[in-house]
Order: sequence, then structure tokens, then C-alpha cells
Amino acid sequence: MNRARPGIRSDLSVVLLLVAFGGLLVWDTLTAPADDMRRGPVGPQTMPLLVAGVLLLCAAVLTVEALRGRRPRESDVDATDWRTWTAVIGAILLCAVVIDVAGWVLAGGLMFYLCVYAFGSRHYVRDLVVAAVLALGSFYLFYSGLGIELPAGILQGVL
Amino acid sequence: MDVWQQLAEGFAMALTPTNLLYAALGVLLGTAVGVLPGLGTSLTVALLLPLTYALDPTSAFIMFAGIYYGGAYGGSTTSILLNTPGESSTIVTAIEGNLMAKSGRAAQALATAAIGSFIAGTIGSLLLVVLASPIASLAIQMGAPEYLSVMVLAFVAVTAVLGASRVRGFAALGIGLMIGMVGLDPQSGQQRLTFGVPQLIDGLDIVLVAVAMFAITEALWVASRLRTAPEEAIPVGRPWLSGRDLSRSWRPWLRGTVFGFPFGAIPAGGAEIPTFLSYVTERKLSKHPEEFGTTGAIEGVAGPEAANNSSAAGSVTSMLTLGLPTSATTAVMLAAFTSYGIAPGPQLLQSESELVWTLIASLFIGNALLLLLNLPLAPAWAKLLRIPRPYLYAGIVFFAVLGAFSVNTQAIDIALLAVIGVLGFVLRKFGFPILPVMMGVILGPEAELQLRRALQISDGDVTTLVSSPMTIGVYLVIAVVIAWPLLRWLVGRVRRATGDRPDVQGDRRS
Repeated sequence: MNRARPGIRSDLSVVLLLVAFGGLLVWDTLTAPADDMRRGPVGPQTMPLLVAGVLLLCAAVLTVEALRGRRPRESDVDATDWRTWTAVIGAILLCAVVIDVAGWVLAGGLMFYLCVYAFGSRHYVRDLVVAAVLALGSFYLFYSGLGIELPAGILQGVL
Repeated sequence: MDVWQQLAEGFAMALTPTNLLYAALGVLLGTAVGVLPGLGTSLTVALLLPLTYALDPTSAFIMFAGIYYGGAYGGSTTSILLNTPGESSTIVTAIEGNLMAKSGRAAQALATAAIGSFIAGTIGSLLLVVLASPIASLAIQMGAPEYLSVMVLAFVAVTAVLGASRVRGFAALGIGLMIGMVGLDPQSGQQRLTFGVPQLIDGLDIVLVAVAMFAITEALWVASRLRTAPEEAIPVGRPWLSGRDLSRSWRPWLRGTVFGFPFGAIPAGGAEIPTFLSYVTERKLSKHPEEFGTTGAIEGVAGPEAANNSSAAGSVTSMLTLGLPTSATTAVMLAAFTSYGIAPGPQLLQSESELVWTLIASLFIGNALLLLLNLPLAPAWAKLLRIPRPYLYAGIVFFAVLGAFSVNTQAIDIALLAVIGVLGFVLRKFGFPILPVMMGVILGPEAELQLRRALQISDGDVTTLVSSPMTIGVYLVIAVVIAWPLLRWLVGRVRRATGDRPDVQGDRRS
């Protein structure tokens, strides 16, 4: 009993995800301005509604399967390390937030450093050196090798 | 023009120092990522996709092809020495290969894998040369309804065969189609799923989606299960084969090649099924059945490794002649075609004939380079297994973000990368296969275009979709694929009634 419950819960969260996507498609299609540039019998609404149908149908079948206790072989749901997971995704989002101000070298380097820490490295100095080499190296490689100028941010003029 | 003449011209192009350099670079990178556990070829090609904005197409594809073949080879090293398959295609190699390594025959296992890969890759590439023009000229006569039917076949086959359950496969496909819909509808100019965000009007960049789905998802996946301790690698000397090993290996190599190519070429075939079939066959045919599962049999490494490489060649054949991605790696390579503005499909052989033949020639060159590099360098590659894991995975995140950001240097692209990466993680966590998602993203817009075009020509008459013998045939195949579980159940009942049951059951992974 206790063992079956998290399974059911995770199955139903999948269903919720699919219903949310399907609903989003329907909502987006129905609220779109009427198209007068329509060419041919199949307009821009047909495919979204078709896909929404597929998603909702899958959600329905999965609900039935979950309630009947039929579950596919699944990747091990237990033992998820959410702390590391959150740290990694947090580092990426932090990079997205600060990159316009800090520039690629600082934002990217910081992200790498945080990720290495999250993935379990505790060689603080070595990690810092690797992060700096990667960040600076990629900046100059893109600049001189590929001709792409990554933003320098507050280091403008220094680099 | 004659096929061989075109191939010769391809060789002339591929043998220029620059292109040779990219081939070598691709092969080295491919082997490296194949060796590193957790890094696959699709992930690597995805990480390198942003380079397509700076490199010319020929060089980029030569490098990607090198990565594909190199990855198929490098994965065997990890399987044999570490018992951790770097790729789903080398899971089978790990069975006998690691046993051989544990009983002191790692060198022979690596050698039979390398030579088998070379032979299978070369034969597979020859098949590609011979088959490319006939398939493409057949395909070029297809109209919109025929195209649509083939795409539907690809969708259905991939979703029905891969993954833990068919329903999840179809749901994954639907999510991919949805992602592919974001942006302006090309025919009517209407915005779909843009939510008023100006950056979404151009649609989600396929490169960004691919990098997120493969690289970020993989990093998050590793992060979520960090507590699993890695195994230790078995030290190895220089690979070599004795005459006896050679005589035991060559038949499995050829048989593996025969298994691999057709499975690689069809949607949802991939490398897992043929490698497994090859393993089962060699086990049945071997004169040394006692070595299987105990000290490790060389046939069990030779066959699957050959199957693995020739399925890569088959996959490239479908990609170049039909524009169909039949493996994750070719799906990503198709994304690269799109980002160059090259329309993949049967017309590719004519419109981009120079690119295609140079690419094919570079497959032969890459294969030869692989053999030259890998036989003597195997001990060096094994050292790669000592890179600390934190650097490896933080590096994947770093290069993924760098790649996604450098395309437009917009901060929102990094956020989108994170969002799609989380979506990919959630899907993987709940047993959804990723390949149907990518198929939906890449082929979805094209399928919609063909559907609308077909119905436009017929003025809304739906029967146009099944009006030719080819479309009827394809939809019949689709019906069989969908009804397959029922058919298999019936076959199983008949088998059970006659007392003849297959003794080994396949455990496919997506």
C-alpha cells in the first residue's frame, strides 16, 4: 500500500503535465485572432487541435493504466538527489540573470564553478583555476576563432 | 554522372588538408565522448551545433560524421574496460567484452571491436554509395501525400517501438510537435504559442532544443543520481589479435554488418535491436558456447560491434536520401541541415551533391582514421576514464550554455535552455523516450506543410491522402506496426502451443 502510492502519484503528475500541455494548445488556438489569410482547407488551427487531441488521449489512457496499476518498466524513481539537481539548474538560471551585466566570462565561469561544486568536487582552488581557464578560453576562442563576440559585461575594456 | 565518379570527386574534396583536419577532429572527439561514460554522440553533435553558424557546411558535416562513427567505436572501450556502456548501442558489447577484460583478454576484445567496426563501417558506407541514388530518385517522385505518409510512418514507428510504453511514446511525440509549432505559422502568418513574447515569434531554435534535450537533460539526470558510485576501469595494453581470434571473429563481423545496416536505415530500428540480434545469433552459432557468460567469448564482442557501426551507416543513408532521422544522432544532424537553410530530403543528392558526396567520402576516411588511431592508442583513451566526474558534467553544462547563448547572445536563450532541459528531465524521469520529442520538433513543421499542401491541391478532399498505391502500402505498414502487440501476442500463443519458446528475451532501452 505504502509502496504503491508514490507510483500512482508520479503517474498522475504525468497525466497532469499532458493535460496542461493539451489545454494550453486548445486555449492558444481558440484565443488566436480569426485568420483571414487562410489558404486552403487546413488552416493554422488544425494541427494544434490534432496534437492537443493526441496529448489528451494519451493522458486519458495513462490515467486508466495508472488506476489499474499497470506501470511500464521505469527508470528508478527512488533515490533522486534533488539538492544537486536544484543547484545545477539554479546555476544555469543565475547565469541567465546576471549575464547581461556581468558578461560571459564572469557569468559562465561562476556557473561552471557552482556546477563543479554541486557535482561534488571539493578542490576549491583547482576548480577556480579550471573555471577561469574555461571561461576566458572560450571567450577568446569565440572572438578570434569564430568571430563571435560574446558580451564582456563589466569587464569591458579589461578583456 | 556515374556514382563512382561522384564518389571520386567527393574524395578529392574530402582529402583537402582542411577537411582532413575536420575529419580527424571529429573522429578524435567522437572517440573521446564515446569513451566517456554518460556522453553520447547525439549529445556531442548537439553541443557542437552552434559551430554551424561559423563553419561552412561541408566541414561541419565531415566533423559530425566523424563523431558519429568515432562514438560508435569509443563506446566499446568503456563497455569493455568499465562495464559502463557510454552509449545504448554498446550495452550488448559490455556483456562479453567486460568478461573478456576480467579474464585478461581486454586487448583482444578491443582489437576485435576496432577491426569489426572498421569492416562494418566500410561495408556500410559502400552500401550507402550504391543505394543513395536509387533511393533518392525513387523518393523524388513522391508528392505531398506520399511524403506525409512516410513521415507518419516515421512518427508511428519511433513511438511504437522505442521507450517503456507506446502511450508515452505518442505523448512524447505530441510534446515535440507542440514545441515545433511555437512561432509564426509559415503559411498564414499567424502566431502560435508565442504568448506575446517577441523572442518566441521566430520559433524555438532547433539547435537550442536539441542542446537542451540532450545535454542539459543528461547533466540534470546525472545530478539527480549522483550517489551511485562509479566502477573502476580495468588497465589495458596494446590491442592485438592472434590468428585464432581472427578466425573466430571474421564471420561475426560480417553477420553483424548484415544485421546492422537495415535496422539503422529504418525509423525506430536504431542500434540496440541489431546488436542484440547479433549477440543472440553468435551465441547460438558459437563453437565455444561455454565461454559465453563465463570468461567472455570474442564472438559476442565482434558481432555486436560490427552491427553497431553498420547501423550508423544505415542511419546516415536514410538521413541523406530521405531526410528521415532514424537515430538520435542523425536527428541532431538534420537540425544542422536546417540551421544551414539546406532542406533535407531526396532532392539533397542533386541540390547539394558536392556536400553529400564529400560527406560520404569522409565516412571512408573517418573509418580508416579510426582504425589507425584506435589500435595503437587504446591505452591512452582508457586514461580519459580518469577525468574527475564533476569536471565532466559541469563541462557539459558550460558548453551547452555557451552554445545556446552564442547563437543570438540573448539571456533569454539560457533561460529557455534551462526550461526545456527541465522538461526533458521530467520526461526521462517518467519513462518518456526523448527521440520522438526530437522527431516531432524536427519533422513536425514539415509534416504539417505537406498535409496542408496535399489538401490544398485536392481542395479539401481527404481521400487524396490515400489515393496512390504507395500511400496505401505505407498506411498498411503503419497499421501493422500499431497492431504489432496484438500480432506478437498471437504468435506467442502459437509458439507456446507448440512448445517452442525463445529462450532469451530482449531488454531494449531507449
